[in-house]
Amino acid sequence: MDILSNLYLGFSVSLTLTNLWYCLVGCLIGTFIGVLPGLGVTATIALLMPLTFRLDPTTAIIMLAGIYYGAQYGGSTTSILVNIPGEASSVVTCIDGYQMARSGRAGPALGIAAFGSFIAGTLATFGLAFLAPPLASLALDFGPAEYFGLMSVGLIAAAFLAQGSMQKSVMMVILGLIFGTVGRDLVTSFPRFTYGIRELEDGLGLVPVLIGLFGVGEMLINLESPLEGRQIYQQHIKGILPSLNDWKQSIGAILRGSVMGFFLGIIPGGGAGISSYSSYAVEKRLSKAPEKFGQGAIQGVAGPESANNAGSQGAFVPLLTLGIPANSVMALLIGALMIHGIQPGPQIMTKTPQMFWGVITSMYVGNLMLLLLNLPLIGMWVQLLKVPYRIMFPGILLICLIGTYSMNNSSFELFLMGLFGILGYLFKKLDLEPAPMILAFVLGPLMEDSFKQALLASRGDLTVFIRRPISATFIGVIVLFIILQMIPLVRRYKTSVPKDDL
Amino acid sequence: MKHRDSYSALGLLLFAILVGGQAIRFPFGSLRKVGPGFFPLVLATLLGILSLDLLIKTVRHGKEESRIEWPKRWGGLILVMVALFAYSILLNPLGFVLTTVLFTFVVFKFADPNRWLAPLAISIIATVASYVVFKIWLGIPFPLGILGM
Repeated sequence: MDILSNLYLGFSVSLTLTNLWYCLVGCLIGTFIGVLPGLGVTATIALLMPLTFRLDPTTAIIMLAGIYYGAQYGGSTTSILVNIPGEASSVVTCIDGYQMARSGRAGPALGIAAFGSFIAGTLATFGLAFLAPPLASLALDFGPAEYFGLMSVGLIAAAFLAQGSMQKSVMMVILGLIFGTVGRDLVTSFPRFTYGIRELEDGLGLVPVLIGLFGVGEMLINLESPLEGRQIYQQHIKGILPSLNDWKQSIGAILRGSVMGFFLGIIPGGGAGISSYSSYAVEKRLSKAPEKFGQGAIQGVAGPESANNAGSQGAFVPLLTLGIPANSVMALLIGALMIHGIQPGPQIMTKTPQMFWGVITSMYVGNLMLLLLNLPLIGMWVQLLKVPYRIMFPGILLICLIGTYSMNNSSFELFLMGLFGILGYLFKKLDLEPAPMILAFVLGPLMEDSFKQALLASRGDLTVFIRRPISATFIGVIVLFIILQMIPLVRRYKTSVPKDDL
Repeated sequence: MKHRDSYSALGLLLFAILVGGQAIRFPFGSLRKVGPGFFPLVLATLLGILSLDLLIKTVRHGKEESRIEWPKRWGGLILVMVALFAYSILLNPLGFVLTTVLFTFVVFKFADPNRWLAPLAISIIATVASYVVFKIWLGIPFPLGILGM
């Protein structure tokens, strides 16, 4: 059967020594920054982009992917032990996880989080393997009008799913699109907003923008409160393996979380955060003892932790099939692919199947590595949390500076990083969501190009977007989102979703 | 101007006007052959309209819980921002080593105001470590400033 031969191809790529090594490196780095509060996944991947230049593109993506889902494993550790989420997607794990730790059940909590994540990761890998090829084949028939429609849907979905008022998120989308127009116009080479600065002719760099917004911006917000220490759960952790009873109680949550998380990860603007929160809400609803949630219900850990892992892998579906980023991390991966000369889109599956299947199978390998390594290494991760923040934070700033500089050897980009750092700080103060802006920033040039081509082909006829069936469906979905937003019930639900830095 | 949204709205409105003002001078093109000015101008207009609408809405019905909170400790913020921009400006003239030592020292000193030796030591160690990792191991070229390194 086709899928078996594809998986065979994939494993033959992902099981080479080089790829195994870099997968491991990625998973470990990911866990590390997942454990460390303050340095987010997006900023870290942005910082490590320069390292991937010398690597084969498949290896680079394998490593970066490992960092992404590895961070989901790491985030749960701090949530359970210290009640501080290491990643935005681990916020809900704090609720019951920390309570479990306080009643001496830190071990099973960590254990079920790890096992649940592994099961979710495995299921998500299969989801990818089955879902991606048909989607990619469908996308091969897409013309510019369809792409424009699809990207518009993606942006509206991201604005819809973002926390807070949709109007503000749509404004952020437009802001991102405007930032995307900086540079020389692709077709006419007309310089837009470049002010004679050579570095701006290729547009605003993705790396300085992201490191500024998420890395520097995060540090600046933290400066508002005193740099104090944290209370770490001090007692010895015994019994990592969850009991049979624990498994009985959690398996439903794990399976539900995996499926829900995977599909929520596919939607642009969805991702690990929304997945974990939704899983928590669903488990609480379905539970026969909902009052236990908040006191240490194991489903409150098992569900969200599975969901956030599945979500981080689901986000790869639009990337590998349509070439569209579902969140900022995927946007960075698109950047990495383009630097290696690979055009993201359905051609990845047809022209470079070894990369396509290699990356998918590497996720299974990575999840296995994380399961086997993380539980024993938890002690080491906990030691890391004891480093005082006042030493870590200058170090992180330094890494941001050097990392950005190493991309293009440009002091101007350092300046840009600083500017976007201020912007990131302002966004947080003003409750503006950066995620829709980032997606729009990356998609903007592509959208404009599709728009132009569509109109060129239709000779200036705007109705082309409605006449073609697939593109009309997209327009319909956009209208649906706008109508949904106006229903008060939907608005009230949205205000309670926690923020995601992706 | 008490509410966060009014600052957002005003800021974005001004931005939209700035962008639109420049985009209007780009060749707009036609629907058949879309020019470089099309997208920026349309986007700036949309942003302007939405910002104005948000501004009016906030001024009329701003809620109590969305008041803006100015940070009480803004000294650190200003210091770090200035240090970051200073780094980007001084990196080329002063070279990697000197700039990095200065930057790290200033920031560590801010984090640990009472000690002199520790921040100095850490900044030298951090600079040496970064030098080894980035220049020697990864082979990234750094500017040689007045000290030649």
